[in-house]
Amino acid sequence: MQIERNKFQSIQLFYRIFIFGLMLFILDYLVGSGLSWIYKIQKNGVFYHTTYGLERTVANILIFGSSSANHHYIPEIISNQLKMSVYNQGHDGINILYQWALLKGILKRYKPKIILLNLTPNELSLQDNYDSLSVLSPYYKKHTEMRDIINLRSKFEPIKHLSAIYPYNSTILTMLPNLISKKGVRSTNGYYPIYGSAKKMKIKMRNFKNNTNLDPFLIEALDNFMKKCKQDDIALYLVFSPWFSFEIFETATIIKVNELALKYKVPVYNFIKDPEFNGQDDIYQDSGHLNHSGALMFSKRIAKEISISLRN
Amino acid sequence: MQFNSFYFLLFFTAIILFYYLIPNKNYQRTFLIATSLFFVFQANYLSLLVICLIAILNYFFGIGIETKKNNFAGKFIFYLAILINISNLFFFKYYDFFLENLSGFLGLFNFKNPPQVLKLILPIGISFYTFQILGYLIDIWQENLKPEKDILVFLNYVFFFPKLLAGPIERAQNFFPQAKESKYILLSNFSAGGKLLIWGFFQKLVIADRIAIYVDSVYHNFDQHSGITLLVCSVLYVFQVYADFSGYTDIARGLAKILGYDLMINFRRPLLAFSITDFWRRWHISLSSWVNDYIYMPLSLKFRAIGKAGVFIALFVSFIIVGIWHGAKWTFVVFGVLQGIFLVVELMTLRKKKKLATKIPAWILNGAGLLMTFILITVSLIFFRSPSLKIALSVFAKININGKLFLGTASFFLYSLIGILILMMHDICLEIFKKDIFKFKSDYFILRGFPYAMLVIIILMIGVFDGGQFIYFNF
Amino acid sequence: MERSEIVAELTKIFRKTFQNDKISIDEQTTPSDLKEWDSLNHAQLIYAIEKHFIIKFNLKEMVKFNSVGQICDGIEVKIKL
Repeated sequence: MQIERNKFQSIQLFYRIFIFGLMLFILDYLVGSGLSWIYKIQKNGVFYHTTYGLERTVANILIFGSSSANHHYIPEIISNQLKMSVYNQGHDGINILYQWALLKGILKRYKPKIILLNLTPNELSLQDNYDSLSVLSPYYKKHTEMRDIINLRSKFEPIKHLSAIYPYNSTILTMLPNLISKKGVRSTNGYYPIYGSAKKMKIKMRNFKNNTNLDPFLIEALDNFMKKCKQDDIALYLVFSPWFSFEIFETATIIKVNELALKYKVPVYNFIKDPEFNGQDDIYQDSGHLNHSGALMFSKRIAKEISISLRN
Repeated sequence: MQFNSFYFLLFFTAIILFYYLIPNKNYQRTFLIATSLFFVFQANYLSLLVICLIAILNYFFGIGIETKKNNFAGKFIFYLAILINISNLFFFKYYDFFLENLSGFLGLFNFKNPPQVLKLILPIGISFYTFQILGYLIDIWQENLKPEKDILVFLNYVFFFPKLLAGPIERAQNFFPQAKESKYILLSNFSAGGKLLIWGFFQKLVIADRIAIYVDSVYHNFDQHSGITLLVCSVLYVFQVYADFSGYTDIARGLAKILGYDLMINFRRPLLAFSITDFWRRWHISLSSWVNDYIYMPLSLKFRAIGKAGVFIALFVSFIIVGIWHGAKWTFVVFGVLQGIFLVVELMTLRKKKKLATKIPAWILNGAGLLMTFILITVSLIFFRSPSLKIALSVFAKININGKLFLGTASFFLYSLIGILILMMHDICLEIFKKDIFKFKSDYFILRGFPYAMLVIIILMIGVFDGGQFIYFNF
Repeated sequence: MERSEIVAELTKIFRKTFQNDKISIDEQTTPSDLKEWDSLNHAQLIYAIEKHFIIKFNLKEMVKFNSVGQICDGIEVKIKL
C-alpha cells in the first residue's frame, strides 16, 4: 500500500518538476529575450561602446586596456597626429583575458593597422577569480570564439549560459537609462574623461606593491594576444601609462612583459616613472588614473612617440 | 562545498535520488550520516576527526548519565561530559583569544614570556553541535529526555548536514522522533522544501550578497567616508545579516524538508519587533531559546531570592554568552553586553510603559517601539561587523547626517533596495495580515508555482553569483 | 491539602506577583496562556510560591514547571514530606 502511494507521489512529483521547469524555461526565455533586445538597442553607455568596438568599428588604430586605457587615451588627439582613425575600447575593471577575447572577436571582422595595448604594473598578478569576464557574457551565444575564455570563469559556465537571463545579470538598471539617445560620459570614440584632481580632493595617494605571484592564464592570454598580432601583421605597441608615484621601476609583471615583448619583437613604452607625469597631483584623479588634463598631455605624448616609431 | 554553488546543486540532486531509492530507515539514516561526513571531510580532516570523536563520546555519555543517575557515578559522568564538550569548544575557538588577553594583562606586570598561540583551524559547525549536545546532556540530566540508544539516530542528530554548518541548533525532542521514521517521497515535502529553498536563495543572493558588496567597500576605507554614508551602511548591514542568516536557515530547512525532516524556525520577522525583548524571541530563535532554557532559566531561578537583581545578572550573563558564542573577539562581548543593558533597561521601564499605554494610542507606542528597536539593533550590529573594537567605536562616533552619500555603483544600491522592499513586504504581510504574499490560492499548480518561478527569475536577473560567503560560516 | 486548595492559593500568588486581579488559572494553564507569565517573571513567581508554602525546590524540580498542574505536583511532593 505504501509502495503504491510512494509510486503515485513520485510520478506526481516528476510531473510537477517538469511543469515547473517548463514554466521557468519559458519565463527565462521571454525575460532573457527582452533583456537581450534592450542590450542591443543601447544608445550609449558601457554596453554600447563594448558592442561598437567588437562589432562595428573599423578604425585603423584600436586602443585596448582596462580603466587607465579608457581614461588616458583621447582618440581625437592621437588621430590628429597620426592621421588615422582611432577607437578607444578600454573598459573599467577587466584584465588581459578580456582583451584577448575581444581581439579574437574583432579580427574575425576586420584588421586594424595599429593596436595600442595599455597595461598596468600589476596586470599579470594572480587573480582569485575571473568574474570580470561577466561583461563578455552577452556575446557568448554569438561569438563562439570567445567561449573558451569565458568558460575559464567556472566549470559550469556553459550550463549557466543556457539561461537567457544569466548573461544579463545585474545589468537591467544600467541599461534602462541608456535606451534614449543622449550624450553619455564617454565621447563617441570611447574615451571616458574623469575630472577632479587628487590635489583638490585631498585623496591619499597610495604606493602600490609589487605583486610577484603571476597568473599563468593571464600570461598565456598576453602571449596569445601578441602572437596573433604578429601573425596578422598588426603593429602592436605595449604601453604602461603614467602613475602618480611608484616605488619600484620593474614589477614582476613588467619583467614578464618585457620578456614576451622581446620574444615577439614588440615595442614597450613605460611611462610609470616618466618625469613629465610623475609627482603632479593636479593631473591625477587618483594614484593610477590621469584626469582629463592629464589625458590631454598623455595623448599628445603617446601620439608623438608612436609617430616617431612609425617614421623609423 | 557551499550551498550556493552548482556543485552542491548536483550533489544534492544525487543525494535525493539515492536517498529515496530504498525507503528503509536504517539505509536512509546510514546514507545521511555518510553524506554528512563527506561534507565535513570536504572541509578539512580535523573537523571530521573532532566531530566523530565528540559524537561517539557523547553517545556513551548520554547513556551513562541515565543508567547511573541514582548514584554519584551519574553525576560524575554528567559533569565530565559537560567539561569535555565545553573544553573542546574553548580550545578550538577561544584559546588564542584567552591567551592573547592573558598575555596582555600579564604584560602589564612585565611578565615576559607569553605562551604560544595555536592558530588552530576552527572545526566546522563546532559552535552549533557543541550547544546541541550540551542541551541533549542537560535534558537527560534533568530527566526531561531519555538518552538515544539507537546510534544511527544519535549520529544523525549530530551530523545532519543541512544544519551542520550554521544551524538551527536543533532540540533532541524535535529531531529524534523524525529520525526514527522511514522516509517516503511526499509531494508536500518537496513542495514545501522547494519553496523554502527558493525563498532562502532569494534572500541570500539578491539581498544579502548584494548589500555586502556595498558594506564591504565602505568598511574597507571607513575613515574616508562621510557620516551619512556610515549611517546608511549600518542600516543596510542590518538587512544584510538578516537576509543572509534567514536565507541560510531557509535553505537548510528546505533541504531538510525535502529529506523529510522539519527543522525548527530560526527567524520570525525580527525587524518588526517592538522591543529588544521581543526581538530576541524572533531572531536566531534556536540560539536565543537555547540560551533561555539552559542558561538564563537556571540562573534566574538560582538568583530568585535576590529579586530583580537576580534577573538582571542572569540576563547579562546569558547575553554575554550569546555575544561571545559568535566569536572570540571583544566586539562580540560588547555586542552581548549591549543586549544585556537594553534588556535590563526595558525590564526596568516596563511599568512606565504600561502607564503610557493607557494614555497614548497603540499605534504611536508600537511605532516608536519599532523604530527604537531598529535603531538599537543597528548600533549593536556595528560591533558585529567591525573587525575590531577600535573600528566599531570610530564608525559609531562618525555617524551623522552630514556629508555626501557614497552610492558605490548606483544600480547596485538600487538592487539592494528592491530586494529589501520585497523582503519587508513579505514580512509585514505575514505579521499583520497573516498572509504569505507568495501563496496564490488556486487549483492549478502552474498558478501556485508562478510566484516562485518569478523569484527564480529575479534571482537570475539581479542575484549575485560570484561566491559570497555566508556570514555565519565562521562559527 | 487538596489540589483545588493549592490551585486557589496559587491563583492568589499569580495575581499578586503579576499585579493583575483578573487572572484566573486552572491545572492546564501554561505560560503561553498568560501574557504576564514569561521568562522574566518566572523566577519571581516560583520564589513567591516557595515563600508562601514555606518550601524549597531544587533546579531539577523547577525545570519541570511548565504548567500550573506540574507546579501543583511539585508542591504536593514537598508538602507531604
